[in-house]
Amino acid sequence: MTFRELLGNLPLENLGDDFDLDKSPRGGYVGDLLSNVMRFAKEGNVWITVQTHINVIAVATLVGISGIIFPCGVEPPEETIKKAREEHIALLTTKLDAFTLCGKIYELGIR
Amino acid sequence: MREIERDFYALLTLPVSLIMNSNMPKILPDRKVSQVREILRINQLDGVAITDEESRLVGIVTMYDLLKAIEENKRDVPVEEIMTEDVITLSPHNTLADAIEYFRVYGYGRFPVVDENKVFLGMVTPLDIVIRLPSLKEEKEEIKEEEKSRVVRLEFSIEGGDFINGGEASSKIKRYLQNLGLPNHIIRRVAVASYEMEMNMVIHAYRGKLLIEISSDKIVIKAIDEGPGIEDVEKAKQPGYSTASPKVRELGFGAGMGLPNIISCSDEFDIKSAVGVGTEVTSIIYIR
Repeated sequence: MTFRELLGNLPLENLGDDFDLDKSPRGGYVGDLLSNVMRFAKEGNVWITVQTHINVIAVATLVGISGIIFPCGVEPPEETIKKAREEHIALLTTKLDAFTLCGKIYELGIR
Repeated sequence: MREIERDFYALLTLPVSLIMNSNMPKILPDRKVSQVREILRINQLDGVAITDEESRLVGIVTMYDLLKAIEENKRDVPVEEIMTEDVITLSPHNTLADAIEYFRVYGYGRFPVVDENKVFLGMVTPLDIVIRLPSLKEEKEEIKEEEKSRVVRLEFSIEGGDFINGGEASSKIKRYLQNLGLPNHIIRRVAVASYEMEMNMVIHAYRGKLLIEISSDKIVIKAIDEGPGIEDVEKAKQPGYSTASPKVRELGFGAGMGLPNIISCSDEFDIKSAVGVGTEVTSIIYIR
């Protein structure tokens, strides 16, 4: 299941025109404490977080996160989107809350 | 990549001068075909370089050329009349990989190795490569020993409070290690430890340095800062303990996981702190 397919199946919004949406996340992680994400998220994961500041992209790059989904309608600032472009990390947002989002993407086979 | 493959590719980068057969008879261009054939027979060679008085390569002749000449009643003609003059040569600086590529592309059975003055140094055949490969491995081991003493040092300046660039140094370190081809599980541990050290300085210190030393058997990461120091180091090592401000915590930092994360990624860990002066954290990760 690629990010593009997730976009087709769920009420998600793509935050950049030039993100690579054809990669498939391998599993996922939810967390807003960056050290916790550093420690437990795995390479290739999709990361669900309400943190939006630019340092989130540094964490994602270091862990090897494939993309980030912001729940609850959260949108990151432009500088975060710009940095994500540079680091090839897809950014999506959704009105769904984190719990519902996790359940739905798990159901779609991301686990 | 498996160990054996890595060894093999490392061997391919060695210079061809280590495999060539340099113990070859010297044949002058005026030697008779029958004499040269006899020299090859005695030395059990299939081909030989023809060199002038100054050992410069002038041609090459194979056993096949010699036998053909004899059949054509040219036993007594000088070998220079039947030798191949346009010879493709290797330089002693060419690698084993180059030599293999030459054999593949040109399909010849041998290549003379000559220096910049065309002086003949030795001959390479596919058989030389096969026979000398095991002993080359030992020579490579010796080179590896030398490499062990080679250490790469990287240094990054960190500004306290700079959350915008926080994590940049660690990202650069990660990319550097990826380019070196280190295993992923090692890169991961270095990335986590260096990120936590870097962010600790951004969150707590006035300014600091992130230093990394990469040698063949270990990676040493050091964070040395000027800052308020840590009052109770033992407490700071406990998961969940943090002195970060509420503002910083809102950003997802200061969860009290920093030092525990560094410790869990390190084979060796050390922390020294002086209140009002600064803190020095060291993490050593062995490459194995």
